[in-house]
Amino acid sequence: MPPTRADMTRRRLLPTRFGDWRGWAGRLALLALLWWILGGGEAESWRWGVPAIIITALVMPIPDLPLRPVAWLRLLPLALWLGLRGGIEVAWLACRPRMQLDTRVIEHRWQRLDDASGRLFMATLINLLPGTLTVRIDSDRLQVHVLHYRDGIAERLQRLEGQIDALFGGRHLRNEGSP
Amino acid sequence: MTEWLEVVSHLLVVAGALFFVTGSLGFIRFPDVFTRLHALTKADNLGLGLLCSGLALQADGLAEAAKIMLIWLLVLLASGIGATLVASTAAACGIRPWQNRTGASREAQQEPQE
Repeated sequence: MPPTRADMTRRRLLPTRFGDWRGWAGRLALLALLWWILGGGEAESWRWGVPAIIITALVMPIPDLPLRPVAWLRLLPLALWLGLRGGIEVAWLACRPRMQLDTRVIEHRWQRLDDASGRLFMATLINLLPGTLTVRIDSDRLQVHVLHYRDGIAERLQRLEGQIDALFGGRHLRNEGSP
Repeated sequence: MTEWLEVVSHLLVVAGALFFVTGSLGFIRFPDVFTRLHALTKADNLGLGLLCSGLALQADGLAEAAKIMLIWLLVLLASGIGATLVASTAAACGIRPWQNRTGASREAQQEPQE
């Protein structure tokens, strides 16, 4: 008999919550950091904070973001730099007296990323980068609206996919190997 | 707060406000929903980032500064996801991306890359 939805949920929750100590430690650390930020760093707030953090760690959906600090440290400065350039480019285009836009819709074929979370992450990140906006996410390609087309945008998307693959890559192989 | 830190903070806040103005200008001047989304997701987010950075420099402590920057992070997330949802809904409703009537610009379905 095929497993029911409840069986699958139970199977997904129990071993992960109590067996994966790294995921457990990561969730606790993240929630503690959030509590510290929201509580303004006051020591008194931890009386309520500790039970709240433990209960939240038990009931929260498991984040599907990988913990790869080096890959995150590589991606973060690049994303901030591209975000700065994106804002400046749009500001420049919006303020020019004679507005000249070369808008296009281009297609980016997935080449390395085959993880759903990774693709969603890239589609969201593209919206914050210079001149690109995700229009549609398909199983084999991404439709991207370009505000002002320049050569090299396709190569930039390929590079970005490679960098995001460094964060999410290899998970499909593990998933295929697991029962 | 040292004097130079206050100057940097004010400069960041003013720069942030200017990017908000340009984002709003883009929202008014750009021709269709897709191009307007560019203005809202990029110029406004950069403006908010600069504004939050300026305010974080004036915060009383590290936790308060982190709280201000957390606001920016959450807005970035919401804005990135929201832009995709609005753009994909517009495309699904049959709204075609704007193209320049002079022919100097054009919307083109680029050939998929091998």
